[in-house]
Amino acid sequence: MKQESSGSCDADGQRCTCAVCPLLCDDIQLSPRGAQRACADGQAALISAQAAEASPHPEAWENRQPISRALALDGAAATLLAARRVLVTGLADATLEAIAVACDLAEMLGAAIDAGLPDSARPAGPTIARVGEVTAAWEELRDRADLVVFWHCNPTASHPRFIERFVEPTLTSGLPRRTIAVGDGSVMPSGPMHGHLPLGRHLAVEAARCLQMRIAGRDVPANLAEPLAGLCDELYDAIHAATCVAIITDDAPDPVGLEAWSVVHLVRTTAHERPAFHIPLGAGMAGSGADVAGAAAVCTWRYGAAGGIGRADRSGGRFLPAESAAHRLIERGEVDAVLVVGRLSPSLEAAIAARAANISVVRVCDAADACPPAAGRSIQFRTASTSLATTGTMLREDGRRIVLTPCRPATAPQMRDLLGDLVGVVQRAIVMPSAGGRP
Amino acid sequence: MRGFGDATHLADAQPQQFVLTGGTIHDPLHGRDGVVDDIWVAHGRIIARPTDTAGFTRIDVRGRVVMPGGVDLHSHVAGPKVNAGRRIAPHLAGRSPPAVPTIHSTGSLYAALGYTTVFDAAIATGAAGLAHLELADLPILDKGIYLLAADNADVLAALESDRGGAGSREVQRLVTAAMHAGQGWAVKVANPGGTVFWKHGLRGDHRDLDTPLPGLTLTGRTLLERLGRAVQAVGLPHPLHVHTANLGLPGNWRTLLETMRTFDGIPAHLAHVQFHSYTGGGLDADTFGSGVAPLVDHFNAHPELTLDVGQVLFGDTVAMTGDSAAAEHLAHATGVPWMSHDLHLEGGCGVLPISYREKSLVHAWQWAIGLEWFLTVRDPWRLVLSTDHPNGAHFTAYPVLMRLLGDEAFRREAFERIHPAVRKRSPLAGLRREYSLQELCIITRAAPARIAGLPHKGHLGVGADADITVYRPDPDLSRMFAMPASVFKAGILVAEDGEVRSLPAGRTLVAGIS
Repeated sequence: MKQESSGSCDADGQRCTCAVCPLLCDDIQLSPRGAQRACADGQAALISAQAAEASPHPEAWENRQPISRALALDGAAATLLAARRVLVTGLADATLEAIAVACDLAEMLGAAIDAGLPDSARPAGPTIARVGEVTAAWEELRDRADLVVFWHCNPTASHPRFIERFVEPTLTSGLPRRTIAVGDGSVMPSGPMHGHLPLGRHLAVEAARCLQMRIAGRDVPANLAEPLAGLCDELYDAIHAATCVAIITDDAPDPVGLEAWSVVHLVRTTAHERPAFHIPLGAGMAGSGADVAGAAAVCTWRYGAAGGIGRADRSGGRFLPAESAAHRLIERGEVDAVLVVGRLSPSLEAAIAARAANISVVRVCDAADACPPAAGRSIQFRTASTSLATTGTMLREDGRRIVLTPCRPATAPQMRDLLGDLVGVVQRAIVMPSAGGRP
Repeated sequence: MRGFGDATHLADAQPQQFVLTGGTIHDPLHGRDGVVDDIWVAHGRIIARPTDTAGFTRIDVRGRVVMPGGVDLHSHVAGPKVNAGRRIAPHLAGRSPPAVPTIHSTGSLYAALGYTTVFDAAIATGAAGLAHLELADLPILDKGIYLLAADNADVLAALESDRGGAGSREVQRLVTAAMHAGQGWAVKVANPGGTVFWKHGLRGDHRDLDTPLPGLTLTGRTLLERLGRAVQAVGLPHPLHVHTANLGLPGNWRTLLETMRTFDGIPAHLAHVQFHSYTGGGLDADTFGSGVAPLVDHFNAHPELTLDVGQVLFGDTVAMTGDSAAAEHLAHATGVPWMSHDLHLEGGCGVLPISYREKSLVHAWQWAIGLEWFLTVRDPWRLVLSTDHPNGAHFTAYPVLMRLLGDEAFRREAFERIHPAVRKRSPLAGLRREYSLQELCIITRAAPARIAGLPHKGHLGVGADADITVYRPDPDLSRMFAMPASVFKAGILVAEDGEVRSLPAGRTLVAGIS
């Protein structure tokens, strides 16, 4: 019986789970020579994490000056309680358990909460609400899909080991697996079982719609121009020859969600004919952490939506897609304090930096990411290395739960515990307003 | 339902010592049907009258109806499919209550309704860890999960080898391992073997129980029989929980009948039977109808079987199931947003919004068929009130369902509003039975607790958990059951007049097997 994966230490205590991207590779062997099986980015991150864990770091900083954790906790609580409105963001670099504590804090502060996911930033709302979502665990792709279509995406950049772990292995059935890359790049080396169909991204929606119509047995426009006509023919034939189809997409800019909508329609229609599913990959290495799915899951069971929550409230938060997205709240100056839990995406980091004069930042992150900002009011806490010393669980991007087991002793508190301490300080301040709580 | 209070101030309540005095007690397990008595509570349990009554707070409940806390044997409150349900229907999130409430609201709403225990009826073993993490945020209620432990390649292989059909040691070992790993309460099978058909591109529509699974000699019937015996041998508190094949399809009453026949002498619980009781074939509106009568005949004669109904009530909701094929079928027919997530080696899930309408022929039949089940099963101890929340209706609609069962005039009024073809042909037209308060207490408390295997729940005897609901009697049963005067969970006052008063953490119910 397949159970949840566990990144347990082996006899040498060297096995670890790489929490650099949402692949959460749990087969990494850490040695003085490096991180075996890790991708180049994972190698670099894990080596950097080892160095950061080994070197002395202050436990906290206030405005770039080292201070004690106790003082930082008091300062952080005062900052958050004094704010007009707080945003809690990041989250995707934290364990499920730490995210839950961050949500407790957000509720106490009446904060907005958003992990910076694209679906929460679209004014039209999440694609799942408009058309649905037909997905599968990545092992389904690995074991069953004899046709894999890379639809305008290249996982080698966003999820470096995705193809090695889930596309290259042999199918359970022993059938050969065919792969086709649709878009600008070839993704994999050309060969008898891999084809590349060049197509500009501006034609992605039209191509998906035409292909869907063909699969549904409806007429496609007679004047369909190349390359659409040839591409539709070739994909249609490939889909009809396949027993199980996987269509992989990435997290490219899709401001109104039309591209995602067209792919889901295509997959739904295909799935009515034969086993088919969509593998929607997120930002991966370009995103803010490995636990993107976990952040979405916890926010959804707490507030009813994956992000874009105007006010954290367990009885049902106000879901305001786009309006309460982290970027929007920061850019519009609607928040004056931000609690950053873990890493941020580069774009969100830049948005905060641009408003540094007007925003106070409380940041909780591991030593490798500990980089006190160059400007602005900030308090920062150092926590245990996510990949090397954190206990807890994360969700891989396809929703599979991965148990992290530390392979190094932590030299800083677990993020969950530190956030718990902050909850305690804030709670005491709220109960005793004279001690600095909200008036 | 008015408000939930602020969690941060309500979580630290402690069990009290108290006595509810002079209440009208409904405790079917002990044969107390409307007798006036006192209920003594200490340390979260019901106790005998102590010799020293000092220190016990007296709570006067004269003229009020006292029942055990409600037990929902079959609901969907947590896990990936429920989260997908929250995301797929934001237009239903703003309603009060939302179609799929947040986990916190779920606990608060159930408690305010007088329910104190809930089971999520379909969690894949691989998703159990996440579901438990979510359930840790469910306040007040004791909770457990049923694991989809049959939809797994290893279990299927073991069942295939179990030619003797005696529930082989290997199947028992795998079931036990799954229960330990997933911290489950019971084993659920959703569309027996359906996952295998689904993954081979076979839709499964109108597949009978004797069709071999692709690549195996195992059939749906042998799977059910062998798994049922294995579950019995392992000694789980609840028998195999069965969502049989062909859910929602015309003519599926035969599948349910064959399912019942399969469990000849083997204990089994049949889930949401309403969705499995249709006559007809294809899209023929003239033949679509109720297949309940022969099913009830068989059920009444076979005490090894129990069931929950999965009543449909009219309105908007979200359907969610571990039966992907059924969800795809419905989504394809209606064109509504459909969410499916196929899990490695296990059944996936299907989620889609649905609107049940009085004037729809099919929906009206579903409504009438559910009620027909309730009103024709002879022994209420083998039947459980459920809407398969949120599939048939939201759990907060239970009071309306209780009125439909207990108030024939109200039922008749509702019957007059549904599709005329159903009015003409449904046996419901001739059913005059009214549930008494005692019978309503049985199907919402005593029976589900007994069927689930919870000896400390569903009754008000000494040693029971002090999960108690106090109602104001009201001829309008929906009003009476919608807003209990007070609700106690393990001896803690958790709700009063629809307001949550405290938010203690409930217990996770895990089957104790070795």
